[in-house]
Amino acid sequence: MTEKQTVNLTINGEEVEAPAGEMLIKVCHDRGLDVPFFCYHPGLVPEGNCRMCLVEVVKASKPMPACTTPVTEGMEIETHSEPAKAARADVLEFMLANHPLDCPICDKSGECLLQDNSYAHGNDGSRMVDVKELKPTKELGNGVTLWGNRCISCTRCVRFCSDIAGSGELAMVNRGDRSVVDAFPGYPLQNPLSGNVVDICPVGALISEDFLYQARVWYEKKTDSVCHECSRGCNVEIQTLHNEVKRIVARHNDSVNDYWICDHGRYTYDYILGPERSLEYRLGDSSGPADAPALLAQKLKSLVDEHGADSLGVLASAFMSNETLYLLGSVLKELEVPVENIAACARADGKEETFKGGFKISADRNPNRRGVEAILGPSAFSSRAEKLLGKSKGPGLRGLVLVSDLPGQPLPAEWIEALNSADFGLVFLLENDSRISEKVSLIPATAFSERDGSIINEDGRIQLVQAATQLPRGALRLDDLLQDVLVELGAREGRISQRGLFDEMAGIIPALKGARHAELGKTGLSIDGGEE
Amino acid sequence: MTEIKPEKFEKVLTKYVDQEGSASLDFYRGHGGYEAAERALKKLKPDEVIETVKNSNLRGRGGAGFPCGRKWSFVPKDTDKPKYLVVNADESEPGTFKDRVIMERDPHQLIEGSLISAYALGSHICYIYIRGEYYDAFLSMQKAIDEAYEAGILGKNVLGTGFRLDMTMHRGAGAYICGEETGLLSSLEGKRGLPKIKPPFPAVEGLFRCPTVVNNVETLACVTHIFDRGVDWFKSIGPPEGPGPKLLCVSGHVERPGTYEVPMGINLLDLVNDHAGGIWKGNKLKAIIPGGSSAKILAAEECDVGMDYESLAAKDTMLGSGGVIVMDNKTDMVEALYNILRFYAHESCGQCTPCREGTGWLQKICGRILHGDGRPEDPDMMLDLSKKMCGRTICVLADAAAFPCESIVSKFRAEFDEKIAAGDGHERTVHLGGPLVQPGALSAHNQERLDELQGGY
Repeated sequence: MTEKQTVNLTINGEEVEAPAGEMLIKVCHDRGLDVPFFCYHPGLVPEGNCRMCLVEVVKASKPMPACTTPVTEGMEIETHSEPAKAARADVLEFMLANHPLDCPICDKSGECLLQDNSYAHGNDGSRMVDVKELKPTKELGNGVTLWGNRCISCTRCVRFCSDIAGSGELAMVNRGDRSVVDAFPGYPLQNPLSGNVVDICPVGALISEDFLYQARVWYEKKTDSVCHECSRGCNVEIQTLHNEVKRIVARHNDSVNDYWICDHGRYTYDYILGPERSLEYRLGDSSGPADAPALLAQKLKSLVDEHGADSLGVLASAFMSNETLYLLGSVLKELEVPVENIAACARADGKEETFKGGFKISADRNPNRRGVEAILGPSAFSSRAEKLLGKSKGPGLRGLVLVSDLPGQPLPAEWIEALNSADFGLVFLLENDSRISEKVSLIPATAFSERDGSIINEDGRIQLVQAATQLPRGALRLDDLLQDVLVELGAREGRISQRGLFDEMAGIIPALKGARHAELGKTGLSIDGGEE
Repeated sequence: MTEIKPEKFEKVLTKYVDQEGSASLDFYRGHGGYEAAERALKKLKPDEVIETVKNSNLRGRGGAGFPCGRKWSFVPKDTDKPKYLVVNADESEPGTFKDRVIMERDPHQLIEGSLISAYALGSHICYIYIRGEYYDAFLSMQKAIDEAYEAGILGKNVLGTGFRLDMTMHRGAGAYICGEETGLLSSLEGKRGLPKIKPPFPAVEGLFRCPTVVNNVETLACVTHIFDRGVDWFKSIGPPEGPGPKLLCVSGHVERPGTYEVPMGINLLDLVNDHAGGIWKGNKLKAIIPGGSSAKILAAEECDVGMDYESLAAKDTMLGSGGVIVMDNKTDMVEALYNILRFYAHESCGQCTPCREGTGWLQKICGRILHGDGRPEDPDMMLDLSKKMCGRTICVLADAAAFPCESIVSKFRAEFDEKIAAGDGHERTVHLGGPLVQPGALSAHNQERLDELQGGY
């Protein structure tokens, strides 16, 4: 392996060592220098067209764009000299010449690079008194709308569609100050990653209809989490307002999803507060969340006491977090239920897709299959699930607890049948299911935006999920409920923190290899080794 | 400096253009055609060819005036990639129509020059990117190429030397920016004709990311004559730093507009008065743009200048593409500038912010002044915007728009101030959607939108 070559250069009078060939803007950003930009995006090929990142290169006759200028030996850079600052202010004046300045009704307002850069680097007024150019407002496809007047022709979206998604639906049309992004006639935006163009648009030119006029971004609460729609575990940021998910955007993680997420993951959140969401407690004479743990503990205990530990069967799911699975396991261990009575269900496979830029959508649509296999054992989905189902048809199995929290996928009919015929049937239910009989007990399941915990993606990366919303109507999260049940059973003295729970679990479960909560950070930790 | 008097100067580029059948291969061979190429290919090594061109001090005739031999020497010798020779026949600079004469009337000298160049560069594919509007030139050029293939001058065995060269024409679709070499290459690759960031320069990474030399038609025609008549002959014409015969296109208010072959360094006034027959209708000279619309204008009193790279640079303008645009004393400079700015606003590719927004903005300001709605601060603003557009973009189109603007506004400031004072100013500030929009103040595109909007209400 050859050692990476480095060059020495001077930035603002300071000696800097940087890898040869690295673009100046990256070197500046790595050193915390504010070199503003529009068209530059770390995940895209630089185009150098916005001219916002102009810096002064001593000895060069004109200012150079930092995003397309590689560092060379002996280079002298001034990022904040008067000529450099003036060059950038001039570019901003041109940038705003035809911009409609409709920030009050613009969806991007508050997270707009043009606002931020104008505030930090621009002049205080405009000399433009002439008529501004008008460009079309139209739908581009896939719920993305073009507000042409706001477009600054940075071509980030064009480059995304051609280089990352590989479908190339977008292009610049017209020339000069009439130029604007558009889809080719007859070929609307239709790639499965199209929502990313809204994320990367530096201004409000590309707007998601899903989010249009839903919230002002500065009021939103932003929570780092992980997408649950397939086993890739793309890093996302869940943006919420008044306990409601408003949108999901991509979060950067080089080891998983770079800067992108797919549309399916981005737009699948309506079920969380959808009309089909089940929030009912139906457990003996339970009146709601307050007495549920005690009642549940009592029901399980009496069942086991009466008919033996082998009379209880549990079906977990591949959507549950490691912590919840671990707690469920602890409860069953406390009741001495044999391991073969614990199985898990999973969502059916989807279609695997890999895109030009390397982004992948996995066929496995279960976010924590690896976690279930690590905690309940690798056979939980297959042979054990079949065996448990067979057992449920016999007289031995009296009690059946199911976790039905797979969005968009109700339990298979044979499990519903088993549930309806059990002496004690309990289901942690996400979405209403009319097939479930009246005598079956119900407890609300936890949706993905409501849980704290960790999941393991298909590459063996443990990543943290954080709760962005609370369960409505004071309902208990499944992990809190199970902690309380453990307290009721006398196994614990009280709830412990997520961090404590993870560290305890990682010490016991061999597959987690003693990982510490503190090591997970924002981007997770691989248990397969190798790339770390 | 070797002074060559017009009467002593022998035309070479346009020697035969007014003779019957000058475009045919038989005619060309009958007058010694392809002998130079045969000599060069058979007797000289590629490096010697490059060295010869270097020694001749031939400078590019397209606009930038870059030394041709030096450009060739940048092409890497040890590469596995194919090398391309691209002939820039897009000739889109306003006021320029010299390459057209060569391609329509004497196309074989371009093929011969390309042959020698391709041999020197080790290139086996030559593309001629020709302006789409030049249909006649395209036909005669294509006919010449077909003849050359048939005669074994192009193809697998060029002139019996074993050297292989294929030549293909590609017609542009009418964009000024495709005359810029990297924009031309983008267009040739089948993409939008957007200029690319340099470095890498085309000589290292050009067409299809392979080493590419882009040369102007006249430059390559000159190469033919350098090998025909020798370096010493070439250097004896005009100033030694940039010698040779030069085609100048005189247009505007002269009695005999046209393309004139003159020795480099000819006095601009001599060119206008002796060759082009002087200012028309007995009017007086007001100003001359010496090198296509991108060059800075020369006021009448500055026009006593030699038409060569150095002398014009000393007057802060350039030889450019050799498009000499003459304006008489009845010319309205505001209107002239508006015409130029409208062109650049229309032709800016829209890639870089300063050019995309600046060209349109300048046009709007100038249009406002022209239509009696100027403000006293407008000329200063135009100067300021021109300054801020220069050197801030990927290619030099922004500079090309800013140069005439800056020079015309500063040299003819009084005319602008006069127009502004005569206009009724702020009372008629343009309002979109209202009845006060000046005719011509809107681009055609916006006028259409506006009509649509008003029709809708």
